[in-house]
Amino acid sequence: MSETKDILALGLETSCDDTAAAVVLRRGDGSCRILSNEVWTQHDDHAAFGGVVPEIAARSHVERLDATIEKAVVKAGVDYADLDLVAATAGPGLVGGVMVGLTTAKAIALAHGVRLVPVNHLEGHALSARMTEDAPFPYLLLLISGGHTQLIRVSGVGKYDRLGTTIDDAAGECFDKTAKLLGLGAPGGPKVESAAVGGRTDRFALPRPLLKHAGCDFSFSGMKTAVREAAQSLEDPTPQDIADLAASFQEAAARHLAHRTERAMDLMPEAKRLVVAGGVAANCAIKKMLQQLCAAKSWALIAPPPKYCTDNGAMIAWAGAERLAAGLAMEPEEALGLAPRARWPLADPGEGKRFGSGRKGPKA
Amino acid sequence: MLVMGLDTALKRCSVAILRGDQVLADESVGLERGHAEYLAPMAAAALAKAGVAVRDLDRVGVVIGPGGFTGVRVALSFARGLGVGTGVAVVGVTSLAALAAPVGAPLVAPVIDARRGQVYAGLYGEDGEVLMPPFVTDPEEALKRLKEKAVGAPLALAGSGAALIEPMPPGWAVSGAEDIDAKAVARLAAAAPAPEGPPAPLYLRAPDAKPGRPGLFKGASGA
Repeated sequence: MSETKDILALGLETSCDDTAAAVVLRRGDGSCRILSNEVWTQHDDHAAFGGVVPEIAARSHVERLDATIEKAVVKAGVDYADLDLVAATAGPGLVGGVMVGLTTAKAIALAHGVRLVPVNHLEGHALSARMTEDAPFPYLLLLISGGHTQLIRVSGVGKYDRLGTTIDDAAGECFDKTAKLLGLGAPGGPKVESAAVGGRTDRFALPRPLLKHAGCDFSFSGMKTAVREAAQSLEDPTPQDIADLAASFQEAAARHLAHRTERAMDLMPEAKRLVVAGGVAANCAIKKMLQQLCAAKSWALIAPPPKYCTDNGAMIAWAGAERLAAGLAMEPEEALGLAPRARWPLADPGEGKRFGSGRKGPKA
Repeated sequence: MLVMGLDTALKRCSVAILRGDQVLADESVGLERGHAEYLAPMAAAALAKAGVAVRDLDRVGVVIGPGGFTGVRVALSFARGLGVGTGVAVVGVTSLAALAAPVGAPLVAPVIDARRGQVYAGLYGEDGEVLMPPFVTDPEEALKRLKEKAVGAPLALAGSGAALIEPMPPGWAVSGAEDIDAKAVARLAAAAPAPEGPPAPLYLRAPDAKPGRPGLFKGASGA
């Protein structure tokens, strides 16, 4: 890679229920140093509602973002004047929250004469592994979070092909709904994972979605229904019943993710690297199943630390810096007038397929 | 004092920059939606026109509501962003105080159509004294409360919801503008005491959210 100038980037992330800001240094040789990474999670604000409420999320972001930024900049030990860019998630996500982050970034850009770089949240996840791990292009990305479940061929900065996506629920959504059903609380992923400890993975027979369908798409709605039916079949469930059901579900979800990932690996056998990102990637059972898959195919499994898998500002700062270094950053004037986007696919779906495309076009 | 005024709470997007009484820039556009796209370029243009930088500002005045939830957050997140790392004080101004300020009558009741059959309203004295802080209710109840407080004195109604206050008691008149003037926001911010921290939004309404349904096994612990 050719040498570029060092880039000091501030990154803001507000697309769901985490208010996050970070300062990242991208060195001229392409290496990364994360100087600070502040996240203010809103789980408690949404707990009573059984899911993320967009209006509550937006209200929390607007009251917390400036202090979160100040903390990140102080911890990084830098001056606003030293920043080369301020990057913000401009979509996809809950548009009320995205608007708060993007608008705050516009103000910071204007106040400090810093370049504004709007970032696609999915690109943040797609490039996040390169902050802390050795992950040269190309690689296969499995992005699994509460909002997204995608397989993406990453050939370079700005070069993405979507190989598969969920045709209904996201993987994380299915974990959240299972946790809610079993009375485990939020956030669903960690709750299901701890409930599954000591549970039997083979007690409940859960479906293997899309087993006979070609392609790399995912489906979780059938599994969700099967978990509900299994739960309803239990009268007066014991803790062991719940552990068994959580473990069976986790195993089925991991198996489905691995199965579809294997198909994508076969589409790009030369890559030999699988990168996982997104909050669900923090799940140990899923990671273990992917590890086995990679071992069997002689691939490397690359997983960034959990704090960079879940939503964070560092990955947004990093994606902004990578775009600027690659000459792909949006023109400043266009960026200043950019509208936040609820829907913003990272890559065109392959083979003319448009699963999940509503009236307003594909979500992500 | 060099002050910027910002408003995106209702159906306009407005930016003004004042040095004392002197208006250096005054930009405003009528909008149903899209405040988030317009505000930053308009602020940049206003700064250029005024020939000042954000750091030169003593204060930023911003409308904190009541108004559209999203609109309130556009200007507020922008204003608070301008305060990050600059030391520029951000001062919150209510939409109702901003509507009342230019009217110049002994009693001013700004009224904003809050939809869903309700209005945002308040009551202000000639010098901007807050006689009734912002509240949300249906127009009949608003009329009743304003009448009680005005005790027969003449009153000037202002704002988009003024026409919803009927029948108008004798001596009352609609005399204010429908829209917020960013210059008034800047002037109110200049006159306000120094803020202790960044302003919070004033929604007057809880978020539209219902408590979640319990799961099948309420409170079960899987461990």
